[in-house]
Amino acid sequence: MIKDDFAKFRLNILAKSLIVGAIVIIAGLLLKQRLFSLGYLIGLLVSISHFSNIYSSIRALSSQQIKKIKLYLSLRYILFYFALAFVLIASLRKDISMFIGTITGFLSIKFVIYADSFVGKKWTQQSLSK
Amino acid sequence: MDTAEFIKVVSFIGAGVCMGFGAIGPALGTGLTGAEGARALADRPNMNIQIMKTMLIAMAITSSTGIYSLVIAILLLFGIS
Repeated sequence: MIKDDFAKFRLNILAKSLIVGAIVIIAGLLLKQRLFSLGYLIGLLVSISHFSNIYSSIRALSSQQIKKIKLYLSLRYILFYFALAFVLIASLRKDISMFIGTITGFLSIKFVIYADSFVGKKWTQQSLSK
Repeated sequence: MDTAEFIKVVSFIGAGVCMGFGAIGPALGTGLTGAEGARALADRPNMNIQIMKTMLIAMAITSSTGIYSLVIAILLLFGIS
């Protein structure tokens, strides 16, 4: 029950960010900004990976099995930062619009979280009411 | 030292300072979030869903400033050339 609610919350954020991403990518393709759309897609994928890392960390913290998977989570974080640096350098070498698209895609999940938190206010109302 | 070399040296130093000081904020933020979240989970285990949701949001938000620093550092390192 607890696991499902938390997983639902994560899936909700991911689904909204994917919808926003699809809209932005389609708009970029319609405006003939292919590199921006490609960068946005790559940035969104890296962002989803980062969000999953945080989710796994909190799940491990709550399940009190942090000692068992501490090395695994640390390796995932290190790999994430290397992948992010590689993606940013490669997109900067390719084109500036791709670089801007990558950064925008990476930060899009944060915008979705801000929107969901301050406009939707679903989780804050639930947490305040209890 | 000519102007181009001076700009490169300054950009390298700027990238290092940017990443070094920029990592302090997210490290403190994520650490404080984790510590307070763990304390809250131990104090009120029946509210763990709300606490974990808040932790997820807070950790995702606090880590973004480190990414900004990384972006600026990469721009300084590779954007100059």
